[in-house]
Amino acid sequence: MTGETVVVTRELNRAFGAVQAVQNLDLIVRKGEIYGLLGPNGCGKTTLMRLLVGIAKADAGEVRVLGREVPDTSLLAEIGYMTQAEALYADLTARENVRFFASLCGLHSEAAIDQAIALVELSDRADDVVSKLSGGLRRRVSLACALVHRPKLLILDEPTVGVDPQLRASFWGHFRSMADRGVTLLISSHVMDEAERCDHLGLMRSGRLLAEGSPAELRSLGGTEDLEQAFLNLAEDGHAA
Amino acid sequence: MQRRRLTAMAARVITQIRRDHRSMGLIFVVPMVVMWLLGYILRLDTGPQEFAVVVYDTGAVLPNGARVLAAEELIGALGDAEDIELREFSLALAEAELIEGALDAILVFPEDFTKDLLMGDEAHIEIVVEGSNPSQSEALPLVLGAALGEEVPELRPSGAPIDLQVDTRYLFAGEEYDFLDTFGPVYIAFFVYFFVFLLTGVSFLRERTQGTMERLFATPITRGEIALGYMFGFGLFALLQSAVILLFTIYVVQIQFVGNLALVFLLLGLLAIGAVNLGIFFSTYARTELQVIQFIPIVIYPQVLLSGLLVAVEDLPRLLRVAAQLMPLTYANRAMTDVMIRGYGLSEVALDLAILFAFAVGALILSATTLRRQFI
Repeated sequence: MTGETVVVTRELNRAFGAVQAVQNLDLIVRKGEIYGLLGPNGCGKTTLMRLLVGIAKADAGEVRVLGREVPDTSLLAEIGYMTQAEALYADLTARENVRFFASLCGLHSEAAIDQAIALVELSDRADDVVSKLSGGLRRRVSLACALVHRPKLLILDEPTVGVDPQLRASFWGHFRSMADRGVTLLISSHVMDEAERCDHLGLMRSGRLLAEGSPAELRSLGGTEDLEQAFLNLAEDGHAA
Repeated sequence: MQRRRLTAMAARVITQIRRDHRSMGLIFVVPMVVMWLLGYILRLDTGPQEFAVVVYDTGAVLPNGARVLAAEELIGALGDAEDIELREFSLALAEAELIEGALDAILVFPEDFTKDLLMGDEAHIEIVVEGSNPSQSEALPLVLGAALGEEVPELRPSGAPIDLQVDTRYLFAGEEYDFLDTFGPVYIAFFVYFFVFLLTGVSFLRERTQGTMERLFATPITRGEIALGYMFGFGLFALLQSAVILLFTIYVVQIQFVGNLALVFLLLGLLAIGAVNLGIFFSTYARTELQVIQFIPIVIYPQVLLSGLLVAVEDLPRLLRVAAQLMPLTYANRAMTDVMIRGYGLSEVALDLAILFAFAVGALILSATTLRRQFI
């Protein structure tokens, strides 16, 4: 799909002290695709995502989301952001958490809240207080909070960390069906079998986008059939360059 | 028990505390500062007692034709004392100064003072005190009575016994008011301020440590809405808390209360709003809940010492008085006392209310600004 662009960055830069977290980064994410952001810890994935949402400020460069320049608070109702931390109110129930974030985005329909909870298969625990839920269940609540207001762009920072393989598969099923409905997803990950499920992959290292392409393209670029090995090869090339 | 494990454990704890500069400050510096301030305040030389004298005494003519004005003689004798300053005033003016705190008491000599004294009748002196500070109200008549008792015998030409009666009149409160009655209002304000500050500080900190703050900023909610939302949420509980404390102290502990309840709530509400926002502001400078608690000796304790609880603000040296005037509790205490003990109405505490309102708005702006700076 080469439809309209949902995320565009140009020459994006952000430093924390001497560390250049994002460096001259140009990124394009198109409507209805799942863009996988891969790279080692500390390579700048989270900073990039925060720049896209507009909760971090770029030192230089430009970010446009859904055709509007970031930061723009009116955009935020159309973005769903799931952070690496659970980011839940532990003394509220799962449903209360979802309802809270939904109403901040202007959505007050109880049916939509039920639907989001059902989507992450949490209906039977929806009225439990979050502090009583296990880590995996809490990730589901976080995801429900991020997608309850039906955003056009979902930015998910390692959504499947601590999630068991079965639920992970079901998460990815939902991601795919959302993408099919025209939702754009930007997902960071460490896990290679997840990378295979993306339409487009970007390999990040030291704040730069080293290589981009579909999983097949990256495999051929890295000169091996094994995606993980392809990444290691590409990373080495990038490092040498 | 193994020595190496033990030293490893102790060494780790020592390293952690040493790295935490605030804990180091709390352990060593804060107690010194607090003790110094406390000692300074308690040993403060509040200067001479200032009295106004109002003389209605018309005096008397002795058989040998000399004119005697006993009040004047007494005033002269008292004025020689080191720690007493006397000024002559009209009664109305003196009472106004007394309420403002510029005077400690008023001495009133009635018309027949000299006559009664010379005739051996019961002579009256009236001492007027403000009344809302019981330790002062009780001490002053004693001090004055004693001083007068020493001087009076010299006025009597014959050795006949003298009969001097000292009457105390209270502008506010009265003999039936004890320590609790007069300090109750101030404590209520303190409770509200303290708990609201602490609770907001900690829950706002949690908002950051559990990552929900970041999530909030990724939604359309504005910083102002976050701060105001906290304000309404905690403001409600601050008012409920005030209601419970107030009703409990009035009806169960039974302290004297003459003022307007609605006005007290308004006051406490404004104070609570300020405290909520101050809590938000300070929590942005804390990384752990312990660090929020560490702000107590810095934010709360000086206000306890300086806001008029221990020493009247007027009696503080200039520098500390300026500090006290920057503290919301100073105004809350004054207004609470004005309303609950003096029975003042809205127009009389309007200035304090306005200042508390300004504090609340200032703290709101401060907290919203720190929220903005924190993320972008």
